[in-house]
Amino acid sequence: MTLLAIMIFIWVFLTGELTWGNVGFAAILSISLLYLIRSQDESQPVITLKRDRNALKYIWTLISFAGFFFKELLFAGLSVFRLILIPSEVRPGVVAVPLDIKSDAEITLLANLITLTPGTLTLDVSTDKKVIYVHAIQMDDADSFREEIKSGFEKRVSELMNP
Amino acid sequence: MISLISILFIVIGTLFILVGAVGMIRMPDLFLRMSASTKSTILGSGFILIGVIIFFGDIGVTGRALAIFAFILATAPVSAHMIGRAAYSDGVELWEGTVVDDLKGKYEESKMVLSSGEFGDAPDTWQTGGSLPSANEPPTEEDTKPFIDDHGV
Amino acid sequence: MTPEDAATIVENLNSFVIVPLLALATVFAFYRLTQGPYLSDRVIAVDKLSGVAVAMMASYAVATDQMVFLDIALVVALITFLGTIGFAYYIDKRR
Repeated sequence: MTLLAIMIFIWVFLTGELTWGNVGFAAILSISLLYLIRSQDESQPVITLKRDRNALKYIWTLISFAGFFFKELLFAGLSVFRLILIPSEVRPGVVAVPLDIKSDAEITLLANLITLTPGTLTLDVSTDKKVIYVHAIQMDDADSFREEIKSGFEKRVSELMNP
Repeated sequence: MISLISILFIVIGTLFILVGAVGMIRMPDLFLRMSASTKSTILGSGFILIGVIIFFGDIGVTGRALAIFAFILATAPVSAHMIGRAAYSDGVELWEGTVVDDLKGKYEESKMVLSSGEFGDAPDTWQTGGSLPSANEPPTEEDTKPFIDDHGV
Repeated sequence: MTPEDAATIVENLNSFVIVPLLALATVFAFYRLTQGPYLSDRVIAVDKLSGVAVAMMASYAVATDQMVFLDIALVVALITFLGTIGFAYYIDKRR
């Protein structure tokens, strides 16, 4: 049901017409798309009303996460631009950060967030998924940098993915 | 008035992109250049698209601008990550001012070694310099030990 | 201030501030494209160029009041990603 609402919203947003006909067409299109991509298990209905009880709380978590992320993006971006204009203060390094989160989706999200934040860049994840290698543009010492990643992004990611 | 506010956002975004391009010239090694350029593109296009949204104030334009920003947010880290990994294993050197390098020596030797098979020279020219163990012999300790490549750093 | 004044200011700012700054960014990226010691440097220069192109299209959409430019910017932002990923695979596999 949430998915249906999101799809209708995206269609109306992209076509740019907020009329009843357009919303109805979006609903028809979304339901047929959901019917096409439904799971192979035939007994599951296409649209469920269950599991939506926590949706509002989850959306709030999402919004606060986005706010935290954009704030981080802006401040880190400004500090990187100060470094570009004064390149003598640059002290880069590649740090191995041990991971507590396990699943592939969480690690992907964490790696993308680290890369999106200006100044840090994920280079690789070890094959056994225990360590992530991060290149940072300025670090004073490696331990505090590790602590920063673990208490900032990793905590938020595991909050987001395990509601 | 609205158009002036939007053009202010666009000028800020342009300055971000320009500073990133300056960083591409001034930064001493590839990873620093990548940090400077990719992230400034994200921030700069974000500001420019905010300006576009404010200027048009139209639901369709807002959708398109948000879609562009979402695509940039989704694709930029993936491409930066892939280029960084490929460059590191390609042997790109880190700047000499680098403080720590935990990744050094952690890659095993690449298995992408292609022999010429039966048409090539004698097999001892392409691998270890010694003679190859025959299939009947059990591998010695030297054969199974992973070869650590320090990528010339 | 009348809307016509605002439109003139927007157009002048676009022609005399935004586009020259973006062109300067293009020159810097081209410097890295020609001088870059490694292939990866050139690839990130191309990536940066596409970012500048997207920014330029968005600013022209505002200056000329044509929202069609945004569709093209969307397509450019998507296509360059594929090009960069292709180059990354090539760098990874060519050894």
